[in-house]
Amino acid sequence: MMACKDYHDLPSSISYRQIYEYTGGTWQKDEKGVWENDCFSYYVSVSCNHCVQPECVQVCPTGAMHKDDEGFVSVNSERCIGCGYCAFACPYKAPKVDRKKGQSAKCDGCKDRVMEDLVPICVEACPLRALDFDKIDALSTQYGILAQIPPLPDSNETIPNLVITEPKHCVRPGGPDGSVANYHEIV
Amino acid sequence: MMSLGLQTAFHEITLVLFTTLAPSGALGLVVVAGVVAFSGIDVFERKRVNKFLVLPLAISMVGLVASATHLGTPANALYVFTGVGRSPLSNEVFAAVVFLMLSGLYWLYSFARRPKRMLQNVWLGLIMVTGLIFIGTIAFAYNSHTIIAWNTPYIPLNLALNALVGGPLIALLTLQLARIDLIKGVMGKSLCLVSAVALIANTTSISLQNSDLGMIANEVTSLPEVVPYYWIVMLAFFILSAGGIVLFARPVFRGTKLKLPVSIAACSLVLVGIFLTRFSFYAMHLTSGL
Repeated sequence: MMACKDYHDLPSSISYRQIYEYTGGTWQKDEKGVWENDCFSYYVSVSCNHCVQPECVQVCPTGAMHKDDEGFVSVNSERCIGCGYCAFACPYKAPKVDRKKGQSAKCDGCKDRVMEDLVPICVEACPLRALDFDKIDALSTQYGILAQIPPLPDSNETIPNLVITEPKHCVRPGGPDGSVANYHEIV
Repeated sequence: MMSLGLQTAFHEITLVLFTTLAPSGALGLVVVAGVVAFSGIDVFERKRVNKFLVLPLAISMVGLVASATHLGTPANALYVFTGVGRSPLSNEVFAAVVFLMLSGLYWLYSFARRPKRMLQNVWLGLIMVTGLIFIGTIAFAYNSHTIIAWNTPYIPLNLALNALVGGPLIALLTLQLARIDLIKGVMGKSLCLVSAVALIANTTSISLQNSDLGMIANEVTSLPEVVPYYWIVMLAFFILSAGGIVLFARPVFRGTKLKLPVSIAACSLVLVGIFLTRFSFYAMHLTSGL
């Protein structure tokens, strides 16, 4: 997130990558007076997924938000009017409205780096190597096809180019309810 | 979560204003156009109504201008027409431009020394059709399957009913300014009744929507947390609009003289009520995801 902000020179009010802290569970006392808990917490790093069916592209009135031949979804600043419809429609909160610039701003997949055979700056900077970048088929072969865990939306909605290795404490159906604990950190 | 919703609505305050004024202004214009074309008023009355047609036109236009000010880069605005057919927002802007251009040109033409009546009637017919299409496109402007708060039948229904609450009163005000005696008869009463029935229908729709809010949630929050005050908005909308309708309907039904300040106050009350519903519309924005 910080590498991205630095590389793209973003103001404090805009971040292309966000880290969601998903947490839940409770403590309960059993009949012997012993406290037990099913508390859990995990983190989901979210940016634009350059979806196969990007809703931001679908609703954009000027065609500024577009998907290029390489599959990257980005903003054409010569067309964008800054109406903010893309930001309203994206279920991943990827496009932002840069009020100062008067246009939408979003992750462009570090296309300039990718064209030079480099990985996006967030992937290069991640100290735990939790992020990876490649063609979606290659990623699916390596990591599987899971593309939705709470708090992400149903992946059928926009078909994100994303695969996730399920976190150890990921909520499964029937498990405890969780919630996003750090929503006020999200910009 | 409530503060985030309010923030969104304040950011989009010009759109709140646009979606308050334009549907009612457009419907008002549609009604007035219908009166000019089909009610059989005499040539002098026609002339006067044509002149005051500028009132609903201005109300619709103020809305459109207001919405343009929310754009960050209006210089690129012409590209909006490239999205017609794909983006619901492009459809709305296109319909707005066609409707307002037709209406504006009609208004100018009505000042011609000998305007052709037949041509004017066809023109008015076109204004009526495009006006209704314009209202329809505003109703569906945010029709996106990922915006779960807005992807419900209540949203277009509320907007269309808003137009039916405000439009007839704006039409009445226009006809009153043009000193059309017909409004003292069945026409005036019917317009007040349409507005009143639409108010009841819209309040019912908002109340049903309010009771369904709990079903709309993502992993972050749910609508009852985002707009916990929605029932208060519904109540305020009903009281303000009912007040406006009663102010207008009293002299119409009693057959007493309509006073201009009272009629203006009546329209303003209704529009403030509608404004509150539109404000909460933007405040309740919620996607299926984050």
